[in-house]
Amino acid sequence: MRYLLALSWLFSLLLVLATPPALANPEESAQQQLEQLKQQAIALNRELFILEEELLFPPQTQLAVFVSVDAGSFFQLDSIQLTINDQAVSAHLYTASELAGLQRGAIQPLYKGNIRAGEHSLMAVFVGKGPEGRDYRRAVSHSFTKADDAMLLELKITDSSANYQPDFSVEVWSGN
Amino acid sequence: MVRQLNNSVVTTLILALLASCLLLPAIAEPLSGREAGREAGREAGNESRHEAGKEFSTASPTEKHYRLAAWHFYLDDYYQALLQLSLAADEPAKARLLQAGLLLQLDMPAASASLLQRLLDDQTVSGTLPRQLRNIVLLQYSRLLFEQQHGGQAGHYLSQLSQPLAELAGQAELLQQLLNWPTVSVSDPEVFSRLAGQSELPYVVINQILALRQQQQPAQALALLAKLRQQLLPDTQPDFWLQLFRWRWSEPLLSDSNERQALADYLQLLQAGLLVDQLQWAEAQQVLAEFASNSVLTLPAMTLYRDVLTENRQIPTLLAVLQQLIARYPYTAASWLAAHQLGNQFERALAQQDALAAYRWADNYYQQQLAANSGHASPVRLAQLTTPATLSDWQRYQLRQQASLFQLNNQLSAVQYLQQLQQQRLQRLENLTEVVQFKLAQQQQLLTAALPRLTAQQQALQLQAEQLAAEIATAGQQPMAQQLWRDDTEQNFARLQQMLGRAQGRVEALSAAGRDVSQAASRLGRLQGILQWHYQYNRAERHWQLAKQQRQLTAELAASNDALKRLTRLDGKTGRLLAQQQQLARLTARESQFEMALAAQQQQLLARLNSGLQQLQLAEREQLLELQRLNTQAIARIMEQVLLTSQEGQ
Repeated sequence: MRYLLALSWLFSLLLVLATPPALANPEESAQQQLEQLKQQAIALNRELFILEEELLFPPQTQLAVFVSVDAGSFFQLDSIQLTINDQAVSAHLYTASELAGLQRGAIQPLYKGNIRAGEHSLMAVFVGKGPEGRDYRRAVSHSFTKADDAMLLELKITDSSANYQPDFSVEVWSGN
Repeated sequence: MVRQLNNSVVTTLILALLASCLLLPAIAEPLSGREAGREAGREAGNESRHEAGKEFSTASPTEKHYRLAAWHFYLDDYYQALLQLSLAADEPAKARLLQAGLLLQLDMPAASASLLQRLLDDQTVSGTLPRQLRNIVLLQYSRLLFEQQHGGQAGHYLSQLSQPLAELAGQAELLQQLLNWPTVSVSDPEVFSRLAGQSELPYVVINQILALRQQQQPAQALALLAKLRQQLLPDTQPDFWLQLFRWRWSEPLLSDSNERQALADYLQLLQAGLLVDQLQWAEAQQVLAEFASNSVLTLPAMTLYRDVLTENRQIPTLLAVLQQLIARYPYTAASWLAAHQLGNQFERALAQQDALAAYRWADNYYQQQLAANSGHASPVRLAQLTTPATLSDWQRYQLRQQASLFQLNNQLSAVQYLQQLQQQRLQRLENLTEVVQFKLAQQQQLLTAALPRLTAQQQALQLQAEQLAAEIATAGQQPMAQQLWRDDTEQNFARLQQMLGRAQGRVEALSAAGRDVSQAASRLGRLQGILQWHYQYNRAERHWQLAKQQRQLTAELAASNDALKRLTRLDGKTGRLLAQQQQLARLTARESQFEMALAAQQQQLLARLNSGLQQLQLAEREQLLELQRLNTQAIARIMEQVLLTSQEGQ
């Protein structure tokens, strides 16, 4: 019994000793300061981005290309190659998480650049797996006229229920 | 006994265990799961039943900003997602909700709570939200209020949830339990059907079990636990909004097999604790004997197993457990105590020589531990945090195990990430500064050299055009203005006219010589008439062509004039560029201030981290010294007994 008592005493001691010492507790203020720094970072990001847009991609010359996927049952995207006026300007190889994001409604900013006012042509080549897992490669072309407003184009991959094939199109964003 | 759990699960579930105080029924706390699965949950179970595409179904520009923000969100780039969202022209309720979730992803609960509060206060905006999204606002805001220790207000907002809650029911019920703790409804047979398939179900039930335990009803608690263990199988996928607001304990708790296994281990340990409550020592020993050796909960399980074995007087097994504790957990108080307990067990068995040997071994062990403890005193440097392999084992262990140090380490990581972002911004600022300087130089060159030359050329062209117009006007007065004849048809007319003119001259010469050329003169007159007729017939066409060319020339001249005017106006754009240059300078200055603030914050956090480690080191030293003192007393006691025994023997 003496041992049990001794053990009990030791366990009690352990419980007391095992309690980690209370660290100095300005935790909340540190958290607040960190949040303020993050807020500042967000504001600085925004200001720099706007300035960058003004200087590097003014609307008079801006061309931006986006990618979206609606449904995507008939086509699994592997990569896109983008050509403007027969010049390759961008290529993107998709990761699983990027594909998942696209399939859940996200829009990918694929390319942003500058072009002169006037007539231009764009071609996008989509590479991936089509119906029944077959290799699939399709190109879509689009001619457009660049004016003073920014030219924003969306490459859309949709499912065509009529022929059970993927459909690729280019949509011009208006009101931007 | 071969299961492996990743470090994050280990950390988070140990924290969850600490929160639940599993082994201390008298101070049992509800299991919120707030720490559980923070990292692991992010990596698994990310599929959504309700796609973001459905959330953002329309094609308005604002919706496109949401969808672009969603792209960055899915790639875990929350700063970029917030930036994208901030570019949307308007800020409807859904945008604010998305923003609040992104802020939470950046571990900014105060900013997120403030945004949600403004959203709820502004009825005209929040009223436009669909019912379930409004429920998400209420639930998340309640949760954040609870985190900020405002239980009353949290309850107020939680009570405003509109039924049916669907997939939010589990979270709402868990939060309600936390708010009401320890008053938790324990007679709730419907809970399994009510929360079927929801990841919060096991946690809600565990809280009920803990409440039953606190009410000293271990039999009912065991029955409930057995039922829960049978149902610990759901594999749910959160929808978009739940995924967005995944933060601390709202993250999915059963998102992968590791989580599920850790929870099963927790239940096993809880079962053993409940059996101990009922003094069913043998059954508790059986449960603990089967406990996984590599679970996140192995240490508390072994500690409880040690107590149970002691009670059951299973000395050989107990000695093996104590040795395992010493070998596997060198930085824990349980391990240090085990060193003393080895001798203690021999002493209980009246094996004095063995006890003495064990106590002496323990004494040596404490000396080694104390020496090692002195080595823990070296402070952590910033560079070590980025490469944890350079930290000592003890430092790594403490940064993982101590909640406050774990949080400080996370905050330091956040500061380091902000520093990385800032370096990228500085690089971009530098590039922009170069761009502005280049543009300014280009404009300067254009304005000082090229523009005067182009203006002179344009003026000369204008003069030539005016002269040409005057000549055309003069020629237009002539009956058959030969100088206007330019194309093939006109050239033909010109040749015919010249031939007629020469023939007319010869007729006149012959007539003067007395020859009768009346017939030829008459024929020449008819030919002249025919030629005049053809000329007049094409005149309108020729005039139109001429007028068109004149108009084209005028238009081209006007265009070049406009272009020159635009170039002249570059002076105004130069002003704009200069303003942008100043803006860049201001931004650079702000970045410098920000950099200093980051560095200060980093130093402050590091100092606190080192202070915390130092306090731990000193506290552990005290514990070791105390145990060493006890052990020395035990040695003295045994030696005294040995001496008495030998004297009695003599």
